[in-house]
Amino acid sequence: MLSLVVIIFPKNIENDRNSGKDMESLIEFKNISKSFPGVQALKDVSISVKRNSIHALVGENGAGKTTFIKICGGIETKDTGDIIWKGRKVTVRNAHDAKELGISIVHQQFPQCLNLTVAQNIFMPEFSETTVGFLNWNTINKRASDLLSDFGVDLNPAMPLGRLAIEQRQVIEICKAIAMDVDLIIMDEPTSALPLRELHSFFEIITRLKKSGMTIIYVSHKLDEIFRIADIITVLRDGKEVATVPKADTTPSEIATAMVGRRIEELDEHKKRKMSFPQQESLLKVENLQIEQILNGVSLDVKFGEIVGLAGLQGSGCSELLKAVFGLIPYDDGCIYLKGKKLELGSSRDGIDVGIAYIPTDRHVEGLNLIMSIGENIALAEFKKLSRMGVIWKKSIEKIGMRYVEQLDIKSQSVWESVNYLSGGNQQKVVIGKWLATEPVLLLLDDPTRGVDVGAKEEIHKIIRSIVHEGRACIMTSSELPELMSFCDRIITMYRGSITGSFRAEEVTEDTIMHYITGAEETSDGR
Amino acid sequence: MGRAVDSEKRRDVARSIFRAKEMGVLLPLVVLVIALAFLAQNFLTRNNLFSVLRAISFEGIVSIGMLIVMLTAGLDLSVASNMAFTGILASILMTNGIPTFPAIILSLVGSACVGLVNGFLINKVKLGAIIVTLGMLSVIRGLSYIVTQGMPIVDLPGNFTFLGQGLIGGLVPVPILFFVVIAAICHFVLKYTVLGYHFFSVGGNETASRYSGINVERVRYFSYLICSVFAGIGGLLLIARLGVAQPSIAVGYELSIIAAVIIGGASLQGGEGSVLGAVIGVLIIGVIRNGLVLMNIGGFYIQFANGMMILAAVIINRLRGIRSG
Repeated sequence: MLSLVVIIFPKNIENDRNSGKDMESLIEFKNISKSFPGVQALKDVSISVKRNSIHALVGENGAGKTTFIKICGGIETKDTGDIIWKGRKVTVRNAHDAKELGISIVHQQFPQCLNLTVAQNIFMPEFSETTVGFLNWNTINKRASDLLSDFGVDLNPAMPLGRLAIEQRQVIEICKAIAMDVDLIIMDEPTSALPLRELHSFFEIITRLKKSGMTIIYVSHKLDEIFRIADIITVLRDGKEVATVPKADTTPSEIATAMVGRRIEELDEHKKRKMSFPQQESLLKVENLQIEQILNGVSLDVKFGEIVGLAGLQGSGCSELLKAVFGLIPYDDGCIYLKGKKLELGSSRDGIDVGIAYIPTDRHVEGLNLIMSIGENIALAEFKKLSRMGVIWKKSIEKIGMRYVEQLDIKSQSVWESVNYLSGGNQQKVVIGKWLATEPVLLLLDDPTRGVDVGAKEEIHKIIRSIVHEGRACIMTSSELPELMSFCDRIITMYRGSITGSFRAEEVTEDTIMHYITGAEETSDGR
Repeated sequence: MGRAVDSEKRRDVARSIFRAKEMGVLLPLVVLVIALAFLAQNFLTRNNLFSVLRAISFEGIVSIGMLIVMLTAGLDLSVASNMAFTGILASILMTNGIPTFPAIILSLVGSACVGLVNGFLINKVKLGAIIVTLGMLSVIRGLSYIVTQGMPIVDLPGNFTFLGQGLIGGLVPVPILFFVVIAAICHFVLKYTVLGYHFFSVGGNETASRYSGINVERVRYFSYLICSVFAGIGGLLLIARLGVAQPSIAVGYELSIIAAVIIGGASLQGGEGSVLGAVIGVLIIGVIRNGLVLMNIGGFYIQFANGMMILAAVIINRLRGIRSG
């Protein structure tokens, strides 16, 4: 209908990208420093990224990765230092500048317009330059649909984004970066929201992007991923660059050591796990839990002192099971018993009152009030208990805040600091602290270490284990199967709302679990 | 074969019409109209229908501006004062010998300035939209009283009052024409242009828009500018209709305008809403008002009915899964 439309198709970029200068730097960062109130986020960081390479950037909690990315993308401005882009010194003041140069970012906590359609989100950067112009949605939808099918995703581009699951939205975010005609894509923990079965096609895309001449800065904590795809690895620690090595010259354990500055004793942790002895008495009993189209007759039994991992892909009902046990979503049929007492859960308040804590996946949406301080966030679920006749004294917030800041080793200046400035791992610790403050007997953790680095993950594991040792129990999910395998006592597999198997963690292999969560095995009783 | 495709297509069109968000408010409007056709004797006469349409045109034009501001998750409480302010400005210019057309343009520039100041305070000084426009509401209303000393301005030129009182072809009142044209243009802009898409994206997620390189401040400037100019146009037409410029016209209109936009499916959180919805919202309010008058139910009930409509609309939207105010 609207033939006035001019759509800018990606220019033929192959030629000028591959024109001989292969080993030259595409972008160089020289002595970049940045500080925030109270924190020196980056100190004298120099990194040189070669053309057409996959350059991995790894580092612990608060090592400065996110700040670094934001500076690349013009979302934050550096205090000192230079950025050299294709041999020319440039300034990147905003997202628009970055895009003009040819840099795009796939953000970890990807902000999107849920009210707009898939296609409208994908082409947002493309239509950001001018305010004037007409749009032909048929053509745009067609392009989006082509792009999506390149990515192996079958989605209606005219569907509102709000209807998609979080992992599908991540795919859209990656498409958005690819749709921009750029030379450098920076990916911040791109796989953290992707379910296992999408990983393979994701890496394929990365490989294909590289073949087409793209340069990628890949930020991740997942060393197996990095060793799978990266060419060069840079390690950041405490805002400083501590190592830059070609992948071929190093090992995962060397990198892990460089990241935390000490050796991670994964093996020890593995041995320690076997020291936890689940008792015979059961803490939680779920019988024949049914939610239409989500859960069909789930039964399980969790003993005191047990850490149970729920393994399942998207749509398996793992998260929903946790939410139902907590009282967040109502169930149609079935019973839930805690310490032998039947529960009548109507709301999350009921869950809290009987001693259940639920720690959600998306800490920005479901877990934290970003405007409030650390102390207030921790006290949030317990305001009622902390208050005297409806009045809450700052002192009692400070007391409870201090207690968990110390216990969980949350890195901050004071309990009155806003959680907004904390790194991902520390934010997650605040969420955990908030729920520990309710003194739960049963912890439900929905992917508690998503987007958290190795060091913080280890700490969170330690915290959970110590809580469970004190005569409690925990059920958790994870987007990473290896995490469940190494951390949980028992693994329950789910597929399409049913339990397909239950295994002692040390007696099962990743392959077997994969078998059961992809529906390759028939449904069996979960007990 | 071709016929099969045709009927398939027709069914798709029918389905998309039925699924459209506006259906939720169109149905109550239809019900209202049918009910009034039975209850109020003179409702379905040509004269009455045109007078309803004319009566809503003024607020209707402004409500489209308000819709645009609300799409970006903003709010403009100064629109009603701006209607009076612009009308007074034009009247002063015209009664001091400036011809009608330049006077209109100059006064609209005046209303645009109000929008720019709103936009500046919200974008640059980072103040909340409600506070800024609440302040502006009083400032320009006060200005209108100061310059007129509270006295009405009379003797407006005939070619000006024609804009409010005239009929096209002896039948269609001029303000309706303005309303329809503005609504049509805005519908197109919101659906098929980059600017319209930016309004939705800024309201949907400001951070996402900024990260994508959209100049969020500029989009917001545009929204307040458009809203203020539309308020100015609405004010000019209203004064032309009344034939007298009083500084006290349109007091409290901002509330029924916001109400209309919300009834039409817009959300105070931004990113949701349509011109069609806003138009239907305005129609519903206008029809209720007219019906109550025709049935000799006192004016006191109008506000009550408006309020009930807002609540009903928000509840309906909630049930349909659309987030609302």
